[in-house]
Amino acid sequence: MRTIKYIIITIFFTIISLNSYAQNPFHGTWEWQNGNQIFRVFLFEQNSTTKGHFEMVEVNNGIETLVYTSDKPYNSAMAQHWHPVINVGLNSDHVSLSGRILDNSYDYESQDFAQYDLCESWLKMRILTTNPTTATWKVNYYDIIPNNAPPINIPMDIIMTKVE
Amino acid sequence: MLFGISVLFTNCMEDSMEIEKPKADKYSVSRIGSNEFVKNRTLTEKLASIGRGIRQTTGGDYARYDNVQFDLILNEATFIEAIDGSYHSYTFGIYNEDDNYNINNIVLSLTENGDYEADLVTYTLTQEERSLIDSGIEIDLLDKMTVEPFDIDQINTYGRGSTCTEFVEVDRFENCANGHNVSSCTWECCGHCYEYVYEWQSVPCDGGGSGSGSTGTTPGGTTGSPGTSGGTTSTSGGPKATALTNTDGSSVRNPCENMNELFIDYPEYRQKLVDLSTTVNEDHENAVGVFKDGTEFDQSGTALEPYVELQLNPISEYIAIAHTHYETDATTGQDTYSVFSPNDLQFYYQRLKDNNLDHRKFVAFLVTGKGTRYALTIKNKTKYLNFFKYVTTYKKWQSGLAATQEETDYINNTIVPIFDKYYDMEGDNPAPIKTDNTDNQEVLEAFLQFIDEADMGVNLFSIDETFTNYTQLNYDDSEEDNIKETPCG
Repeated sequence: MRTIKYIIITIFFTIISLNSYAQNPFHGTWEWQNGNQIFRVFLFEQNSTTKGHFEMVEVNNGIETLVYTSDKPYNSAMAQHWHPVINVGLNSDHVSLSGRILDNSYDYESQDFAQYDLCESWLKMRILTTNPTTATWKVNYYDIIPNNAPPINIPMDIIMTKVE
Repeated sequence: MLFGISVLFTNCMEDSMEIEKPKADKYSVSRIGSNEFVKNRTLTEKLASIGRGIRQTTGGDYARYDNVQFDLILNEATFIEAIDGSYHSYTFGIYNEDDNYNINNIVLSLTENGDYEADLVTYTLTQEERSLIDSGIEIDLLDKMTVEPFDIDQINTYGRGSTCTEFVEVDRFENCANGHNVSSCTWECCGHCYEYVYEWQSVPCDGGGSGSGSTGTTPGGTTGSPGTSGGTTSTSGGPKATALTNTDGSSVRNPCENMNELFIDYPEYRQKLVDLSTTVNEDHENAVGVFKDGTEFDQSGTALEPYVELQLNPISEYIAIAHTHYETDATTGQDTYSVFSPNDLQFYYQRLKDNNLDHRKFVAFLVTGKGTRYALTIKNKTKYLNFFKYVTTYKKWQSGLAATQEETDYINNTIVPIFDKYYDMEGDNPAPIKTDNTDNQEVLEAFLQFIDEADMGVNLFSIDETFTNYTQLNYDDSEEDNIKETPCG
């Protein structure tokens, strides 16, 4: 009896979870290929929000080499990894999302970065009506920023394809 | 940061200037800048000792001794000197960021051996009394004063004994008219709206005492003649003297005062705000502002770029920043937030932390393509700095230093969740502050809840089209629409 109850509860929460996932067409893995480089974005649900990380890899002979990733330790002195740097929400039209992204792709511990402050940008994605597995990806600084904001390193205006 | 406490040496000004002849002839009083008193090596060593002796708060920017939070104002002091040259003291103001209406001063008094004794003088005030002082209205402070030696880490070389303290008012200066506003005072007048010099000395704890001046009342209510007897302190040597010095007033300041003063000092700025509000449908953000030295700036962003860059290290402190959040015809209602964004608030934080923004005068204005107009002021610097301290943790990561678990937890358990709750959330109960939310009232209510929950220490106001009438806004769930509106008088 206890086992049956456990199975029912598990199925219930699985359905809820799948339903939630299904409601947001952006959850999953998105890619943009440029030559032998692939920019990859992972969007997932966390605490009723859409969170995410990104990475850039280089592909040579089918072998991927990491160029940068947002899911890395906070710095060389710490083991703890970055919290998700993408914080976005599905808009009421259900085909676009917007929110904030922190570009941490730099080697921000280097002296070259010392003049800059890490600074959040906004992120907007919109599913293309012509192909629902593709979406625009637009990143830019927003509102007041200091005049020492670093140039944004990640792609800022591309079309991505959902692969998972 | 100097001495481990937040100090403000940045506005070193003119040499000392004699202010007024006293009615009595025992002391002369002047205001002096740091460029004057830093020449006094014994004094600066004592100030350094105080900095080492007080305990840092977790925020790192302030320190506490007993129950007083310190932010010593070291760019100027009240200098009291005996006419015969036998004595002098320096009185320094302390920002009062605590939830009370008291005024605290640090007084460094010359002793016979050439050293300085440090005392903490507290004026214990009610809200009404503090408002009167901030409005320049005279009140009797004698029975509201207490003094205690700054008696930690052997900062004071004298020993504690079984004596008490007696206050007397000895001199009075009258160079400021009633109604003078302390918070807007100029260098010539600042700190001299209450030109009473109070003197204190040790007396036996069974009462009595000598001295000249006015009659005082003990804290317990017993009338003494003359002076005031306290019961907690012990000092040595002859009488010491102080005067109420340079208040911050943040906790009781009229919340509308920053706007009032800004438009008195820069009346033409109002029209610039009106003009700015006509640009909210351009395809970029714009900003106009004022620095403390009176210079103004005007900045435009780039077409289709949703940001405007402002100076990181301005020549003078920011006292006003107005900027737009635009909506273009192509994407009306989807471009920007109708309230201040995290980046806006963080910019103010970084400038405040770097002493590039004077929070006592500062007003942030926002006009948006969604039709909203807001002003935001910082009423409690400590709270504001405390909430945004995670930005400093980012900087720590950049420098390769390991953040403490507390610092990391603060980001993951406080900052991320609170921004998730109010900005951009989706799902069954979406966070209303989204760029595509055109229900300005809903977004405003969420923003007010956000600044309340964050305990950010700010005031928010709505503004009419002419930028003349301001209404303070507070989240209040007893109100019909959860927003309490208090028009500025």
